[in-house]
Amino acid sequence: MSASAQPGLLWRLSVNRSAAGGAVLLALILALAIIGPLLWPGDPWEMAAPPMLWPGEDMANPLGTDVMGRDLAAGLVSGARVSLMIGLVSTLIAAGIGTLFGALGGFYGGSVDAVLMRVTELFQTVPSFVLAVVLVAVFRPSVATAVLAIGIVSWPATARLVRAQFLLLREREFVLAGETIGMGTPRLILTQILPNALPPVIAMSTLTIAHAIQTEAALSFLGLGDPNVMSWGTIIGGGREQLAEAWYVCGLPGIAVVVTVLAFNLLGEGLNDALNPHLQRR
Amino acid sequence: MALLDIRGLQTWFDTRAGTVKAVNGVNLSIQPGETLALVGESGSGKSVTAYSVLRLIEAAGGRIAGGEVLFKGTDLLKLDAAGIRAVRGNRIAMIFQEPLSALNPVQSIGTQIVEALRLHRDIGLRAARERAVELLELVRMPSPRERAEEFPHRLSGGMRQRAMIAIALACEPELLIADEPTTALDVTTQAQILALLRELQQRLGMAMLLITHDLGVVAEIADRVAVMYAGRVVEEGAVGALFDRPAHPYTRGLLDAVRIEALPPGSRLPEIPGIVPSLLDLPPGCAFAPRCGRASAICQAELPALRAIGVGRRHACCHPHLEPVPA
Amino acid sequence: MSAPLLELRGLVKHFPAGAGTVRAVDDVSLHVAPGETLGLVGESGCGKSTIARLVMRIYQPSAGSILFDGAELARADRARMQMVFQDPFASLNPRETIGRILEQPLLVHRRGDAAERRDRVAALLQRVGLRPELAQRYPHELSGGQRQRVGIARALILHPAMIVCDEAVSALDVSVRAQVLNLLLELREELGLTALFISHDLAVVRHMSDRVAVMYLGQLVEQADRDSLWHAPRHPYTRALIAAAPRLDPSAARTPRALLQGDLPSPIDPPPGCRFHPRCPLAQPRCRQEAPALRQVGAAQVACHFA
Repeated sequence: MSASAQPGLLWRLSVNRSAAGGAVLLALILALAIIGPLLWPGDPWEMAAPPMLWPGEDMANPLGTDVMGRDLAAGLVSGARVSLMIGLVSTLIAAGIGTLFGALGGFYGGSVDAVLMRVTELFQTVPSFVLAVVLVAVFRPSVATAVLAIGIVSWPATARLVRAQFLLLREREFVLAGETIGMGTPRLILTQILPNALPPVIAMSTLTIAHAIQTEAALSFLGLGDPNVMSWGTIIGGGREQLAEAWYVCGLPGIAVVVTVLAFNLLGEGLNDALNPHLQRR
Repeated sequence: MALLDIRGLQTWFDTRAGTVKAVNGVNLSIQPGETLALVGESGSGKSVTAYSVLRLIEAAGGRIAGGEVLFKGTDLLKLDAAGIRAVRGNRIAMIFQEPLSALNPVQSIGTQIVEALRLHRDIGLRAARERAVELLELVRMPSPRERAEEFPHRLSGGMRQRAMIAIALACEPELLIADEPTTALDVTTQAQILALLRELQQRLGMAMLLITHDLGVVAEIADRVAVMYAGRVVEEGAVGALFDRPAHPYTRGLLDAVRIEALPPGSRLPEIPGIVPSLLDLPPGCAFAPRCGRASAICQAELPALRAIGVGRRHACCHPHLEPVPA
Repeated sequence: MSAPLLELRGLVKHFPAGAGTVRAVDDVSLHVAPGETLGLVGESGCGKSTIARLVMRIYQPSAGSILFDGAELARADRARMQMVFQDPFASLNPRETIGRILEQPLLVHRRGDAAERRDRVAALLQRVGLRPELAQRYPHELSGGQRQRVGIARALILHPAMIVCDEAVSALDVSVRAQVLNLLLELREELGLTALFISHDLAVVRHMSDRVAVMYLGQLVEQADRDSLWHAPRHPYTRALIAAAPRLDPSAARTPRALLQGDLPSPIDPPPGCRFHPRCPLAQPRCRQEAPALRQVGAAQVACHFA
C-alpha cells in the first residue's frame, strides 16, 4: 500500500511468474525479429539452396530449405516481423473501436447504449474467422486488408469490457465529483473514467494480439495472405503438400506461432493479476 | 467458570509489506448470560478478535499466532475441522453486519433456517419447518408463516436482520457473536433490532459478544464493555462504571467525541488529535501515546499491562484519569 | 430576512424503476439564506441525497425549479456551489495524485498559471491540516480522515459561495469525525460559507446547522430552527427519530420508550394520504385519505394534521 502506482506495477509484474516468463519469451521473439535480418540477409522468397534441405544438413541454411529451396531461417524471421506487426496494429484498431463503442455506450446509457450494443452483438454473432476471410477476399489480400479485417472482427469483446467498466465507474463518487467541479463530458471521460477503465483492457489486449497472430497465420495458410510478404502462415501453407517427407517446413513456423501466442497469453494473464485492484491489496 | 475465556490471543496477517498484528495479546472473558461489547474504531482488531473465536480468520488470510480460546474449558483453537464445525452455528452462532450478503440469495429464509437446524440437530423436515416459523415468530417477523417462503431480496433491511437472527438462534446457542448488527440499518430500525436482541438475550439466557464502533449501541444493550485500540484491550469494565469514569485517555476521548448532544450547537468538538497508528509499525510503548495528552517518557518506553482497578475494572494506562466525567 | 441564496420550489425527481416509478423527491420547497447552514436529515431512501445531486446538477429535476442567487440554476453556477462527498475512499480518483485532484477544478475553470495553481493547492492543503508534501501522494496512501480533508479542500479551491455536504462524516471513525466537523465549522466561519448539511444523524445535523429540515419518503415533514426542532419536535416522525437515537447514558438507555414500529415503505408505492400514517402512533382515518400540507405551527413548519 505504500509504493506509488508506476514502480509498483513493474515490481508486481516481475514477481509474477507467468508474466515474467511471457515477457522473456516475447523479448526473445522481438530480438529475433529485429536482429534476424542481419544474421540471415537476403530475400526470404529467393532460392538460396537445393530444395528440401533438412535442418542442420548444411550450416549455410541452419533450419533447412523448403520445396522451392528458400531458406527457412530467413522465412521465419520475416514471419516474426509480419506476425508481430499485424498482431499489434490490428489489436490497436480493435482496442480503439472497442473502447470508443464501449465508452460511449457505458457513459450515455439509454438508447445510445442500446444501439451500440446491438451493433456489437451483430458482429459477435457472425463467426469472426469467416467474416475475416470474406473481408480479405473482397478487398484482395494484402497486409493492410489483413490488419483491417482482423481488427474489425476482434473489437466486440473489448467493447463489452469497456462498457462494463464505464457503467461501474460512471456512478463512482470521484466521477460525480469531477462533474460537480464543472468538467465537460470529454474531459470527464478522458481524465477520470478512462484511466481507471483501461487496465483490464490492456490485459485483454495481449490476448487479442495472440488471437490476431493465429488468425493471420490461418488466413495466410488459406492463401489469403499478402503475396509479397512471407509470414508464418505462408510457409505452413507452402509446406502442406510435403508434410510427410518434410514435416519441419510446417512444423517450425507452427512452433513459432505456438510460442508467440503462449508468450502473449502468459503476459496477459500476469498483467491481469498485477492490474487487478483486489489482488493488489494482499 | 467463564463461558468464553480468551487468553493472550494473537491474530496476524502476513502481507507483502510485513506482518500486520491485528490482534496482539487480547484477554477477555464472557460469563454465561452476559453481554460483552467489544468496541473500537476501524483497525482496532475488534472484528478480527470475534472472527478468531470461531476460527473464521484463515479464509480472510490471517493466522492465529498464539493464545487460547477456551469455550467451557475446551480450547477452540486446538479442535480439528470437524470439531470446530460442530461448535459453529450450534453452540456459538454469529450474525453479521450485512444481512443481504450473509443470507443465501437463492434460498427462501425458511429453508435457510431449516438447513441450519438439520445441520446440527436430528430433526425431521416437517418438524424443522414448524420450528422455522416459530423462530421467525420469536424474532417478531410480521406474518412469519408467509415470510418463511420469501427470498432475502424481497425483505426490507430490518426484516433481513431478523431473519439472520432467527437462523443464528436455530440451535439455541450459548453464545451469540454479533458483528456490527445494526450498523447497516436506519436509526428507527436499529432501535427495533437492539430492543429485540436485548429481549431475546434475556429470554433465552444466552451470552452475547457484541462488536460495535458505536458507544450509543453499547450503552443500549451491553452489561460490560471492553475498549480496543491497535490490537489490544485498553480498558474494560461494567458499562455504567466505564461510562461514568473512563480511566484510559482513549476511552475518555471517544466518549467526549460522541457526546455531541451535550455541547452547545456549533461549538468546537473535543477531538483526539492525530490518526490511528499503522499496525505494521507500532510504536514500542503504548500505541496511544503519540495521540495522548497525558503521555510521558514511560509511555513511549514500555507497553502498559492491563491492570485491575476494582471489581471487573481494568485498564492499560500509566496515567489514568481517576476523576469522574464532569456532568 | 435577506433573499435566499438557494431556493428549491416544488422540486420533484422521479426515477423509472421497472414497472413503477421511484418518487425519490416529491414536491419539496426549501430555501437557504446567505451565510446560513440548513441541515437536512432523514433515513435512507428519504430523498436527501437526491436533493444534493439535484442541487449539484448531477440529476435534472422532473419538475419544479432550483434558484441560485435569485436566478434559475445554470452550469455557470458550478464554481460557486461545491460538494463534499460521503465516501472518502470512493470520492478521489485513485489514479491521480492529491495535487492533481486539487488542481483539476482550477484547470477546468482556467484559473491562474501553473505556479499560482501550485501555490493555491499547497496553501489549501495546509489550511485543511495536511502537509503540502502530500500533493505528490496518491489517495490510497492516505487515511480516511486525511482523504476527507482532501475532499473538503477540493470543494473549497474555487472559493464557492455555498457547499453541499452529503453525509460528509458518516464514513469516518468517531475520533476522526470530530476533527473533520471542527474543520468544517472553522472554515464555514472563516469563509462565510452558506451550507446544506445532509446527514442521517440528527445530533450531528443539529450541531452543524442553524435550521433543520426533516424528510420522510421524498417529502418534508418538518422544518424549524435547530433548537425548537430539538427541544420541541412537532411531527411524530421527528419525535420518533429523536427517540430512536441510542442514548449515551446507560441508565437512561434502559428506560423503555416508544419505538416506531414497522419498516420504511417503498418509495415506488408510497402510502396514500400522509406517507407516515402506517407507522404513526397518532394516525387517524383522515391521515389515510388526506395528505397534510406543510403549515406554520409556532416557530416550525409541520406537515401533520395533528401537530
